[in-house]
Amino acid sequence: MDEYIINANDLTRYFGKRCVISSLNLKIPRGCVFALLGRNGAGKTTLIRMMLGFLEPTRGSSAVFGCDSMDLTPEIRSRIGYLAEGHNVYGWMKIAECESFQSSFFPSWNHAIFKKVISHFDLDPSSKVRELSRGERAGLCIALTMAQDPELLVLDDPALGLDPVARRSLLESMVYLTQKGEKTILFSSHLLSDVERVADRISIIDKGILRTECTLDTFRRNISRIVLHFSGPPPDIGSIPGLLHSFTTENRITLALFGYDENTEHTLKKLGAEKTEKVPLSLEEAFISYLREGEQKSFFSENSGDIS
Amino acid sequence: MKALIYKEIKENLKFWGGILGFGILLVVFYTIENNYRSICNRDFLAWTTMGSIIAGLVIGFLTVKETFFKQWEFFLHRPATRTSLFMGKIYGGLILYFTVTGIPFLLAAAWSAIPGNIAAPFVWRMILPGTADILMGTSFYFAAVLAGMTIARWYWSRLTGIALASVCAAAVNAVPEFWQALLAVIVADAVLFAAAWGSFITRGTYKRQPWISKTALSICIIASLVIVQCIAVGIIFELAKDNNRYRSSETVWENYRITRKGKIVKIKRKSGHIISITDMNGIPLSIEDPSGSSNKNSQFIDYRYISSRFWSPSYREYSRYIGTFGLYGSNEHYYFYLKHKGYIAGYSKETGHRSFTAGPEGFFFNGKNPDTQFEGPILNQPLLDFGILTYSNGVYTIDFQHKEIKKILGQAEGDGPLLHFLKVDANNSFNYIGVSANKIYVLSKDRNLLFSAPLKHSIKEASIGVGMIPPEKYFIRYSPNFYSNKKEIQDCIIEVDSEGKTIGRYMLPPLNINNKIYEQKKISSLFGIVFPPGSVLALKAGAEIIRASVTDPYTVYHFSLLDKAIPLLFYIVSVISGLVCAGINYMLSGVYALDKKGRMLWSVWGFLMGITGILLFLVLYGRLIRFACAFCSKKRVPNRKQCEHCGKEFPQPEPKGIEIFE
Repeated sequence: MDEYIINANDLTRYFGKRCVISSLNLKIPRGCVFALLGRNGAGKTTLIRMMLGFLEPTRGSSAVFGCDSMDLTPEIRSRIGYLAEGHNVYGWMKIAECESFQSSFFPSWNHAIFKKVISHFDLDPSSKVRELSRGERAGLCIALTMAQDPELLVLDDPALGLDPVARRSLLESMVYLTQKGEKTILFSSHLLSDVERVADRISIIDKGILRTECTLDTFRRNISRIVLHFSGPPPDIGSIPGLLHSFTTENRITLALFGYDENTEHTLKKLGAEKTEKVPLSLEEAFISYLREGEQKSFFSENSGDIS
Repeated sequence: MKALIYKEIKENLKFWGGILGFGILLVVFYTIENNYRSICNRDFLAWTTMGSIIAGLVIGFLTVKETFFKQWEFFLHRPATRTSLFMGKIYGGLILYFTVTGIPFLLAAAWSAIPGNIAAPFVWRMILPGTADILMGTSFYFAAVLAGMTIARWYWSRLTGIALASVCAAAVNAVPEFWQALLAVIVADAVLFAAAWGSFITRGTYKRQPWISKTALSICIIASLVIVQCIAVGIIFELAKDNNRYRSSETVWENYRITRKGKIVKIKRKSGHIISITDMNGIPLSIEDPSGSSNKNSQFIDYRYISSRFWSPSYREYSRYIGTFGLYGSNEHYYFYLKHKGYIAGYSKETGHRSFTAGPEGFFFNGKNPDTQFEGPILNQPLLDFGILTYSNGVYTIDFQHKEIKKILGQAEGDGPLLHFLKVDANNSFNYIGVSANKIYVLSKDRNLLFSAPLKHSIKEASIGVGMIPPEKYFIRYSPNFYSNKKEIQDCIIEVDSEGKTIGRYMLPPLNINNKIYEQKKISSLFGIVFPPGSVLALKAGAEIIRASVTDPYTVYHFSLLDKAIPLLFYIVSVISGLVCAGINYMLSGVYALDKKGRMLWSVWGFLMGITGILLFLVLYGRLIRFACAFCSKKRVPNRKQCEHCGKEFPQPEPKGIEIFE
């Protein structure tokens, strides 16, 4: 059995002159929950669409279960559950019709799972899809995807439109599915608290370029926040190794640092701070710090003159 | 597959109901508003044509509407091949299409077939034109599917399939036989189906399509480009045409005429006026012809020519199935000739039912049909209005008022079957002329035989005209058929008496006919720019095929003249234009980084198809994006791993120093 379920090699995609995914290499191991992170427009959905053969790469290739993404066979597709961004299902169908339509294609359709999920979302099988709220529609899509009982579940922003309770249920079901280690989940999300709960590994795409692919712990370990307290106005920080971004207030400098080590510590000491404090980071905070690399100020502090 | 077909049908149910309802309304409108109509009527066929096109387009777009509503990926991601998903959609779409178009049409046909609804006979073959229209609509269905799936470089390039479907619609309307219409539909459908299928399975991208759908898509694009090209050429031709040439005051026309005294003279005309009248030896004669040949005071008699062209109504014409006696319809009845039965029938305008029938032996009433029928195919389809029925074995006249049928001419002993019988108006005196392969028969307006004489040439070889000075002088003129290839026929006039005996033979020297319609003009050589060598070869081959297969001498003649009209310079310009386009395609394919084989093929294509070849390349390969190579600085395409100039690979994205890979 192949160790990796998805294997992308030099995957590149242009839309016009804009490079949306640039020479991306990625391997997703079997049995893990893999989170795809990035800002809006980073290329997460484009990457998923290319991996599932809906979009032709400009250059490079990817394979799922060892099969080229552009030539996925029906057998391979039956092993992949895909929840597309936006939860687009046929509005004219009733929920029961949706199930009947989908189940006729998927040989390992699990009606019990479908029933369980839609009852969890309190959905009436006789309701028309177009009459459902955004969250309810998301619930239906999750039910339709889960009931396929796939080996690989690809969820493109599945929590979009879900309330906290439903989100929690989604997370629980993801954990449940991967308990035996047979299923693999690839999902993209902006809700990092959710990612933190379920993901084994994360990858971060920044403007089409893969910058990170590691476990959650490794990521967190590599990003640090240091607060330097001064008795008077803080000095110019100059060049600090691994500085992602800094934020200066009256007597204090907050630094986000990548790969905090002895060398960095030594450089910081030279600044003459009264007190140096290392603040623990959540994934969300680490992620934000990571992607704000190079920024010296926040959006509002930069534009505060305009706002006032 | 069943689930998919069911989904397609149910999904479009309201559109289905709407179109079906509209179709049925049309049928109701047709049945209520029009009494004397048939489903083979041109007005009704205009509805079936337009209805089929609209239904095909609407249902075609509905078939692939997922692409517009972001449901495409939800639809595609299921364990089925894209071909089977495509077929499921197509089956569903076609079921829908044939239901919405077929049901109203069959209702109309059934209504027409029920006696009493329409005061006209019904023949089931009359449904062929409407059926052809409905089948033709499937081309528009596939064209709409293709348009929905194509990723367009330019907006019109989405519509390329519709151009081919339009060609199919034009063919269905123009061809004489139903099987030819069917063939046109099959060919267009096969091409459009393959193109739509290829676009569906690759979501509109060209590169990954199978060769068969690539070819089909190219045919669609070429069809649309050729249509645009033809329109452009037509406009240029209209602008460049020298219309004055046809009205030139310098043009002199000559002809031979016969005076009322039986003398043959040569007349020269210029701008419609006689400028000289001479005898056969060129000696001027002082004959005043005050008001033209058609005037009864004219000094000359008219020839009445017998056409050598035989028209057969197309499968879309009512007269193909039923002959009508339009002028002979009375206040109470319409009269028809039932070709398939071989007799005549009269229908009451009031009740719509059949009132009588008539055969060679007379009229029959009270639902009785004639014991004997008219034999063989009718020869004089357009002349039924004169109450004459011509068959190879005889000619009949029908008097509907007095309910009389009379045989006025039979096949003479030793003569072959009749080929022609027509009513002519010669010097304000009606006569009838009949022609067999060997003889000519001339009847008076009372339908009595004036004379018959053996023919020197058949009407297929020569133009035959008859001039009359009753009761004793008759002239038969044989001239070389303008359209015939038999050039050895010499212009002559044979004078015969009422017994058909030759009493004079006059050989006529060739006339100086000013015939410069197909004159070579050097300026027309410029058309070589838009007619590349491939088009010229195709046109030449097409002309040769037509020349070889068409028996109609008129068509053959015009195709032979076309050759003479094209100057040598045209071919030279065409080849130069082809070479320039080949060069452009070679350069373009290099810019798009095609391999050597691809570049050569596109160059050949550019040479053969000219501007069309260049446009096809641009449409198929889409907008080009290039970037400066980091190594050689030359512009390179992004879809190749190695630079086409220096062979270096694209560099990996520059690291920021904060990457984490584990």
